[in-house]
Amino acid sequence: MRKKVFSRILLCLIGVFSLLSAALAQTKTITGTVLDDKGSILSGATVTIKGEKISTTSDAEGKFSINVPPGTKTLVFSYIGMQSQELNIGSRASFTVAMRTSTSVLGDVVVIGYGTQKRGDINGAVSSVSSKDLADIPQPSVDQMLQGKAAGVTITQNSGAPGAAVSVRVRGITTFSGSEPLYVIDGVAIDGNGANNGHQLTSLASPTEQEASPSVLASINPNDIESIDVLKDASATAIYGSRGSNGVVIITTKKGKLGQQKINYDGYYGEQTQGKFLKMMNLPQYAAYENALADEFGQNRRVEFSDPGKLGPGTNWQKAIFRHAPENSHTVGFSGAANKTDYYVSAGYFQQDGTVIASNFNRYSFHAAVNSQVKDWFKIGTSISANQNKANIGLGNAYGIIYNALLQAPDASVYNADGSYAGPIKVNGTVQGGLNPVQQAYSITNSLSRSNLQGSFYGDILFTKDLTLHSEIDGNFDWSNAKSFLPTYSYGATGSDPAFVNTLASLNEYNTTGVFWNWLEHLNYSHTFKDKHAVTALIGHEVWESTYDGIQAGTKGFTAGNTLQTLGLGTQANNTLGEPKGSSVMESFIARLIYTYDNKYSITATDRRDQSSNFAPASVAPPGHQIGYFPSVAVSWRLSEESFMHGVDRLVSNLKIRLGYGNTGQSNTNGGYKYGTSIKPIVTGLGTGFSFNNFNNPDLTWETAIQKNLGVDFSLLNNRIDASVDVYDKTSKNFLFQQPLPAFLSGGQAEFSNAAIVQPPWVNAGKIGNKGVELSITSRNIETKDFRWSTNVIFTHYTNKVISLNGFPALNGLVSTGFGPQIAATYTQVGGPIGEFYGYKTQGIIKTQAQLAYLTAHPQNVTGQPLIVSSDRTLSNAIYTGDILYAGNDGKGGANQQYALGNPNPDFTYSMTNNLSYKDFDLSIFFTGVQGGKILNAVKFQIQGLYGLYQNQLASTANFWTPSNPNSNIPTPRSGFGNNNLVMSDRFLESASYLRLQNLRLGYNLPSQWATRAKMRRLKAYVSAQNLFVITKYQGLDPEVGSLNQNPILQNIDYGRYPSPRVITFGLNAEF
Amino acid sequence: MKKNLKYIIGAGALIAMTATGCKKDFFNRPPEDQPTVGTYYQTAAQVQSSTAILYAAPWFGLNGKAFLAIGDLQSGNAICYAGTDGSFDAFRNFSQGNSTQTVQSAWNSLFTVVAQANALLNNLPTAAPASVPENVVNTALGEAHVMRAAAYFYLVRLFGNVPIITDPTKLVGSFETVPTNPVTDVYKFILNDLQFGEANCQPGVAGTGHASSASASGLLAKVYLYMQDYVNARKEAEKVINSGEFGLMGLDVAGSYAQIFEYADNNCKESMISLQWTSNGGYGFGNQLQSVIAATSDITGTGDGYGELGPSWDLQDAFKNAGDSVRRHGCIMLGGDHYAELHKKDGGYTVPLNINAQGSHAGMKKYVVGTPDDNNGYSAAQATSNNTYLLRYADIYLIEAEAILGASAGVQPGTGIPMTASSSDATALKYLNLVRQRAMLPALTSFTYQQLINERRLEFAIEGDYWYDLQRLDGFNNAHHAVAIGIISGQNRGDSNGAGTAANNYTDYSRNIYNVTPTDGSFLLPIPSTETAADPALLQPPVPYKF
Repeated sequence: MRKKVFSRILLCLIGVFSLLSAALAQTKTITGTVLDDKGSILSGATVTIKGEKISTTSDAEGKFSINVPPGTKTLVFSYIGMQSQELNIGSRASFTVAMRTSTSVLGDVVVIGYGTQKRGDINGAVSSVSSKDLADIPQPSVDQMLQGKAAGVTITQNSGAPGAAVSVRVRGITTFSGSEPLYVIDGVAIDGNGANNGHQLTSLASPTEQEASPSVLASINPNDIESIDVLKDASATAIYGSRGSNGVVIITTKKGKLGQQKINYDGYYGEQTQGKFLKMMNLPQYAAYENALADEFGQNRRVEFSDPGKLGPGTNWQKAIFRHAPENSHTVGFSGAANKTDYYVSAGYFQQDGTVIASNFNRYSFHAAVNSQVKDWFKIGTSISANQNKANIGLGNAYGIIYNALLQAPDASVYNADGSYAGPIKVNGTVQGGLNPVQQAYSITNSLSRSNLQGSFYGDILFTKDLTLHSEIDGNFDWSNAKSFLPTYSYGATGSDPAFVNTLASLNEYNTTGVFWNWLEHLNYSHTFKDKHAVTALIGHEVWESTYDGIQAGTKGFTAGNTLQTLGLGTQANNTLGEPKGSSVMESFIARLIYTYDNKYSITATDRRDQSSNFAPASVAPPGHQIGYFPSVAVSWRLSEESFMHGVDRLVSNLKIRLGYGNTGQSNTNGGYKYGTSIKPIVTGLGTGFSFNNFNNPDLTWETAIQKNLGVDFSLLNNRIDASVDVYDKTSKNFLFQQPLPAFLSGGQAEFSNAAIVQPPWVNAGKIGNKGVELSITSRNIETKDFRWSTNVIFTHYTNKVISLNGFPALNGLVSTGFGPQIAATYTQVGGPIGEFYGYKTQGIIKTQAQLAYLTAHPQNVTGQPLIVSSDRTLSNAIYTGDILYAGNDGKGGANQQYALGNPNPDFTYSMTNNLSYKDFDLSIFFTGVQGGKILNAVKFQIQGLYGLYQNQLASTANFWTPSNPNSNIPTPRSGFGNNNLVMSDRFLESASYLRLQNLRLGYNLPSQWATRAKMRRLKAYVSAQNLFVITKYQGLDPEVGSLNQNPILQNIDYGRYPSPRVITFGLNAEF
Repeated sequence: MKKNLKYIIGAGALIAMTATGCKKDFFNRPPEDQPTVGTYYQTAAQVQSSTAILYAAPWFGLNGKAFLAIGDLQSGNAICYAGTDGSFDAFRNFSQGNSTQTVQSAWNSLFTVVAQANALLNNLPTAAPASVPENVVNTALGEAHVMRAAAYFYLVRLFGNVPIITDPTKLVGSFETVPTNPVTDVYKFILNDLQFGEANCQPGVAGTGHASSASASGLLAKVYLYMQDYVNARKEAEKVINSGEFGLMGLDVAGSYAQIFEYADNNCKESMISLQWTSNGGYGFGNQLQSVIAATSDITGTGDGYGELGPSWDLQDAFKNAGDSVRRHGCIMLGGDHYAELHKKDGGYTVPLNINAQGSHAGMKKYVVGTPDDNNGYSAAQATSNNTYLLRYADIYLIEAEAILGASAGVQPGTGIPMTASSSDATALKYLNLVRQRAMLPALTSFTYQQLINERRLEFAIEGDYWYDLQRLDGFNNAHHAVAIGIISGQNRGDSNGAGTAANNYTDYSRNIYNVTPTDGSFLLPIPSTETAADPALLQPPVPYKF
């Protein structure tokens, strides 16, 4: 019954779309049926008359009918993923054609920016991922799905929090101001740096830490995506000029296919769990440890801990904040085409609870794409997406709920007996311990909701068979609301002696509106002269403008209580307002020529001229600063077409060498107007004050990255193996960055605030180099009628090196390690990689009097002043047995030597996907891995800090060194955070290597005859396990750490990051 | 016609396209949410508001923790537990190194003030058009000079030789070779700035929160006093007194000693130069002192109140020995004390008997202003709206007294006034006794230098000032600090053992003894390592400044 309704709805839709197309009436007809290699009906195959523009497609029953002019000799049958076939008509009027699956990807169409090319013809470095590769991976967002799918693209999740951003690095890190690629979604360009789009969640955990930015791609329903192409080298990205310097990820959404009137349903339900917990102390362990600590610090033991063995297990705070969390996703799509119009419409819903209590994400998405050949010389199309998504993150990532839960003592309860929130214990009238993380999670509101409307509209005019004008208008309209509410609270011990009191609730909201439009015109000419000289030329012009306008409002003091969280209910005296707004524009001229001789030799030359408003206009500085030219050239030689290769063409069926060289530009200065000095309003007790925001630099201009690429593509053993290898060198010139200055010139961050400093100038100086190699192999190991097995291996390696910082010795990456001072954990210096860890080298524990005698004569200095040998453990500058001995003592009492301790960048990343299918079953096993690199386990400064009472520690730390426990390598407790055992040293660095079973998926396709009986074309059910296990030596919750707020100099620093969950999913794909 | 349609449409599209980018202004995108140097400072009102920033956010990093860590913890007025927070601990026993964050905060914050003052001084004269009255421009320049001097006065006292920066834009390309300048040149630079301020600031405006001409004179008096130029110190102090602009709260104007530090009395008659905070901007723009030193979140009502400092036994005894209950009650709270200005809604706040900030069996009161309700709503977590005093009128009276004593003691610069030196000069006694009178202490008929310094300590306790008094006891720019070391090594900086029970009024605790002896090197902070790494020349001997 329901199915009937469904098919009627479908009929209605087809009806609507059929009206859009004009029927053709012809006379002489050839008919037939198209089948696939299994003998199944193949609908949507294209049938073309060779040499003519006349074509048709096979219908739902695989039948086609085409009217041919007299003299027609050959029909060409084509279908994506199948080998093209030519058929001699002869005198016959009816055919049955069996298509064969293409064994090569060379015929696949690749989007290269302002056009497409066949994979086999490409001269640049491009990685492609099709919807097939992404299907049935239950990830909320596309960027996460790309992980391990494209060579040269290194993807890490910055946070496992629902809706959080990932770091996508196409060929390493090229700038300090955000290295995320440009995303082009159906022509609409979106900056990959979340913060640049005005979307920012606030961290309520700490005023000093920014929250992990939300994913810019979280608004897209992954089910709507047809293909993703990643342009990597300059010859590929140069067509995008300045915007493509970090690589370009082109996302193409689905389109209706001729002859396939379909209804699709894709849905899954998943259960997420936290896979790993840290072994923190339970209550008996904690009590024994607190006793030992009190002894060390010369304080009295707590009475209630007199017999630790008799205590119960206490509160397991990790269990209190992690939970099993469901997620589910539903997408319904309708697609098809009738005659000259195709359409695809879909609606999707995604809902995900976070594995940490009170966090969640949801998304509603709608997508429509229509293309129509309205005249034989005129084609139009549009693609429109509308979506709404909302993420709740609670206290946030950095020093958030997880961090608080790890530190919370097991003698504190989550709830009092009366159900109210409990607080930590009170000792001598003083609260000892932190805020209750469960109370924080449930009472704090911290959400970001985003609505987005994205559309593109184009028209193609076919002047002649070879000459086309493509006109396109794109728009992207964004509305977002970030909201944080800190309620009033008073909780702790039952009764009138609360541990924590807040009488002043506060609400902050940030609403932004972003409008982006883009207008593109390009003329394309494509012709093959004398069968051998293939020429494709493009010239174009593009203008875009991007504006944003945000309203920031805040208030405090809600007499009406915590429930109604709305601005109007605050106390007027506390109202704050702000309106960040601005715009930027760019105009570009583009030109590209591709010339191929005899399928053997090919050259692609592009040039682009960009004019950006980020640099001084002619009214401010001599003209020319705004304009940059970005040429590139790539050549290729397909050796396999040469006659000398013919003897081995069964072994090597394709061999091509590519060589590319080009410039790309970069104009990102974290907002425009760095050429002048702006005046920033700042609130003061005297009313709004005006501060100088920055040093100006009117000479500021384009940064250029010079990229060289050498690539080889080859196919072996009759196309059983396809492989690509690329090596590259990417070096920036006139590197655009904010010149670091000592504080005595510009002011400096103090007490975690840098609101009033005069920002140092942006300059064109300095140099960064990236070198790398990337490899992608696809092997079809077994291909029989019933059993297929293919393997895809991807390998990516890059190194980056700072070549110059314009005289400044190093950029310090400051890290907070709790409520104490920040430490400089990374040091980006000339000759080293970006974000390199830097600090002291440990040489074990001081155990002997001989070592102490040496230290008396040669004082260590790791805290800024020489350490005195003294057994008084309360002296912050004392050192004694049980403390850490550091390397590099210069014997003069000066500062000990600090060393480069490790690179956050991996040696290489790799992934392997095995796809197996047997009859109606298919199995996919997808591993990703990272080898090399270090993680700074910053949580350890606290959870193995051994510096103070009342906070929980890793169970293993109880085994600290004492004279009676001489074999331990854990230092003796020393009071005071920032003591000489807690400086930045290699003991907080751990290996970042891991191998993860990213996805394991078993699917079952209902046999087509059964599906047909159920009025379906196809039904597939699958079960999928995401993140089933991780093999790693890393001791934190998750070795995939990413970068803090996408900041390249703060990579792989684990502050108690939200770990990626383990997800078991059941899914269904149905096609009607 | 129909056949040509495609060409017409195509040509139309291309022409429309090329026309769009042509407009010259299309590429000129100055900020839309901020004025620029070229568009601001165009009216008198704009120029007048340009100095507000110099009294606020740039000082935040000094005001947070450094202010009290240096001025009161290091000087022995306050204590903290061993190692509760790396921001404070090292100042307890002079173990702060060049990477201690509080040291960096002080340096960075003060140079942020210098940077903002320099930017104003360098841009305003050219940016303001002739239509803005000259005296309006000069007033703003005067204030900028005063506030730059105030920042350098802290810098030179904290770090000794420091680089004098007036035009940072010229040093962007050579920051790694900028030298420090000697202490004496920095003082001379400060005098120049203050004299400019004295000549250009408006008279009688300190009540608006802006530095007045007499504010500049007052700071000049203090700087001269530090330089042991007693003649000029007295001259400048008397300029302030004669201006009639200021008065003591509780004597010349109604109120009390404690009231000076309340939000409602911001910019009262006693305020000469003060930092103007607001609770409305969130972290970084308000006064952070309460959140750091209030003993509990019950007092602040905003979740903060970390009790990171407690009053030392030495300070508690100093109040007791002086019989000074007025200023004791205003500076520190003891169990059972009642404060009508806190928890006003509940009829006042009675300090719990078990108050015990950092083992001191007491808590801090000065700069603790209570809940948002107590402040008319103008208070928030880590951001209250009450001012921080950089200079208040009581100081002028004590400067006057000391200048008279110093002149009569006949000491040479570089040698401190002997602690036993005494004076019975009527003028000196008049002003010293006014300060004592407000504290309800009996008038003196003569006083020793020891008594005067003690008076200063009790008057300015928990105002971040005592350290600098100790530092100068041995004379201007003297690297040896025998007298100060003697005083400090005699202080008990320990906490207590045992917390007491309610039954015996929480008095059954014993004081732990903790004595620290500083060295001469303890009297200057090290320049932060991040700065010396960027500019190694800072570690070289100072280079005379070219005036």
